[in-house]
Amino acid sequence: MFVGKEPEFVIFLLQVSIFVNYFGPISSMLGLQKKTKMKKLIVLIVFSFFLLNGYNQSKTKANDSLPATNQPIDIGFEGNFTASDLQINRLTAILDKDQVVFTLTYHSQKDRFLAFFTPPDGDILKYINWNGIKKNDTIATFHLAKNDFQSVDNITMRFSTNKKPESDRNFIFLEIYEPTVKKILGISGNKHMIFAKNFPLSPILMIIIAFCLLVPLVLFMGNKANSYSSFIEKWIKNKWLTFNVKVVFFSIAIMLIILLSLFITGHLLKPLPVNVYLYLLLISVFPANLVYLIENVFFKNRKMFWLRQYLNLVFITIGLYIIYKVCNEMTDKMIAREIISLEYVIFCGILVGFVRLINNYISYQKIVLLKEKELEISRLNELKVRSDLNALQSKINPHFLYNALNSIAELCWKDARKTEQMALSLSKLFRYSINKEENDFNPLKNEIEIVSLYLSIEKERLGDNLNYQFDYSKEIENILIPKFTLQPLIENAIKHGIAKNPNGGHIKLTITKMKNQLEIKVYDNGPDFPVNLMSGYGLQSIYDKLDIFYPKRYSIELHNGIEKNITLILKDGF
Amino acid sequence: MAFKSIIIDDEAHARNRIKRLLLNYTDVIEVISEASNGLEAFELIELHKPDLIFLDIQMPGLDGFELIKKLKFLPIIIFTTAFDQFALKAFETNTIDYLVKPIEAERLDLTIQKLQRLKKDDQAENIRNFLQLAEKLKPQKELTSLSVKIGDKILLIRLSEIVFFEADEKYVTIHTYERGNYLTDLSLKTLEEKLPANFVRVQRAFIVNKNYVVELNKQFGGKYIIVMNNKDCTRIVSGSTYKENLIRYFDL
Repeated sequence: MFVGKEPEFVIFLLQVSIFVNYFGPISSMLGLQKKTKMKKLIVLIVFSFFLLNGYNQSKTKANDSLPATNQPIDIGFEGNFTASDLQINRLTAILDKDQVVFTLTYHSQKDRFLAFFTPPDGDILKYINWNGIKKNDTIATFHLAKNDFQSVDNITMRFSTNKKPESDRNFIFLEIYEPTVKKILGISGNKHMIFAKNFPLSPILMIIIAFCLLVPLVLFMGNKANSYSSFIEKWIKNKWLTFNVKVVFFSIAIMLIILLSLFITGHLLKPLPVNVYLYLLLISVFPANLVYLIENVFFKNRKMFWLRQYLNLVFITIGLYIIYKVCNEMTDKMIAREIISLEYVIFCGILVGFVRLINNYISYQKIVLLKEKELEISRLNELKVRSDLNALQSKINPHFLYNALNSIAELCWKDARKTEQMALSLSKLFRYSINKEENDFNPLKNEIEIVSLYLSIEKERLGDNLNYQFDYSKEIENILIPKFTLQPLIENAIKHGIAKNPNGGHIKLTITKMKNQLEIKVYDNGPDFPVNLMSGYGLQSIYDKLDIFYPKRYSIELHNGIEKNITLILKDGF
Repeated sequence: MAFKSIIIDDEAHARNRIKRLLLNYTDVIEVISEASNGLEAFELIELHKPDLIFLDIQMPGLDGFELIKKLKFLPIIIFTTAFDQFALKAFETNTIDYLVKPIEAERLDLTIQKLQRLKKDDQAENIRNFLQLAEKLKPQKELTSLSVKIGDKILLIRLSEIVFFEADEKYVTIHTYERGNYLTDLSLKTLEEKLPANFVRVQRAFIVNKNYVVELNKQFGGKYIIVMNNKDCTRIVSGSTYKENLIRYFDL
């Protein structure tokens, strides 16, 4: 049992854990994938609220603490007061020089109260039967000689609403908290006796505890690649299962954190009984699944937003209430009562429901906006890809065509044979580029022919200014590569390399097949590639094309210097 | 008196074609020389001070526009180009004409007629005006990629795959969507000036690509947390001085 000097603090921590158990997994389940800031903020606010509350509670208790012997001490005890609602009773003892004054304070809702106080010899010292007493009223004061307490474990305290209790066992004092009391009373070691530290909480300690609790939690709740949820998602594919594993993991994590903080602060006197953990797990899993059902199974339709939120609110509260009832039956009633009172159940249900509502509303609006935007973008993209594909297939510059035709118009006056050659080359080149019904891929042999046609026309135009050379082995000729990949590389070399070199230029194309990659290099002797921001550089079309037909399996490198070249590497599949 | 002319084109066939077509107008135009690139043309023009030049716009070395800018002596200019963009319409001023390749005899005839009506008085002024205009009309080349040096290699990074730029004391790191991070020597200031409009400076040390922004979360004090759509879901807190930027570019 976890009764300490400030049991409220422990209870409050457990309450926090319940709340976090609800809120954390549920919110991370459905919240926008990339949206955690809001959640974290809300959790932080709620946490701070609880912490402050707990701090205030424990502070008042701390003020009542017992640094000196002649101050009141609290003696807590557990007991089953039959069917009554009697919850916590407190016995205050004032230690005098030669006597102990016990004051019994009444904390019950009931107004009838019966008490027996039995000293070691067995006689009833005082018998009270008081009608109409109020909460916190002092019921009675006992003045006992110190000698009367030679053996404390024989003292029994009996409470009853209207009848004598059946057995004494329930009413034995199990705890006396203040070591000094023990000393004064001369209590020797006893199997029923546990000593609690009187532990006033300093604000600094509160901050440390808060950090112990919050930091791992906040880290956990992220949706980053390293967060626990994405880790789970990696291993378990079923969404619902993933969700439940998340909930359980989260609960365990929170419990561990809380136990740790209890341990550090000395509030954890004995390990909590197993059923407390099970109880906490149940509290996490049950309503979380309710929400999951509502949000993911029954009301998937986002249009029923408000109905869904309303059902969330109702079901969480009802779910918690059911648990409250069940646990009242199943577990130690004292624990059930203290961890989860009915008020707390309702409070928690409504709070979680509302937080969920806010969270969902924000993500709902975001999603609606995003959806609209995404639709628009995807429509545009589709159009773009389609037109791109067409354009990419055949991107021979019209500029090139006009220049070539201008050359033909002149050449025909001088050299009929050359003119014929050029017209035929031009028509072949354009046949390659205009034929669209064919495959998206071309054997390298065709690609090389396109390039050589292109270069032969350019050479006719530029004359001695242009020399070129190919270097490849026969075996590569049938390898398929995306259509019109080589030509832009060559065009680029002419446009940015050779054409800028008034002394004429040299272009070399080499194609080598490595183990399972193809290396295409285009050398030119023009000026270096700039290292800077660049526009186009003719390569955009190659990038676009390879992104479609060769995604993630290619790379393009530029090399400056004597061997200035552009290298295209196609990986895999050769 | 015939116009003394120089033909400037990097392509021999193109020069020959103009010469051939001009044979019909020997009384109007006298071809005194020809040049195959901008630098050569510059020297010839300064030397011969011709009345007229036929000028190809795209040439190695100096291109047509650069050549005009450099010239101290300005003849009448007739551009020859394979471009057929609308912007060329603007070239049809009193002192300037243009011919589209392949050059047609009929179109050249119009040019010659026009030439005979030309006043040479306010020539220089006109050409300067034209150059200003041409500068504006010149299609602003859209920047599409950024090259970075890695050892002896230069890698091209397309702007479309850059998620954001991050600056520390020395370097600017380019964070790409899938290909990792690279360093560049360019400063954020330079980048901010040159990059297209979808790159927004949001903080002293960050420029983000608008297309990769998933979310903007408003914080207290007018700051925003910008969530990027990369693997790490990087979060960037906007700087207060760049608030205006954000509001403008993200329609807040």
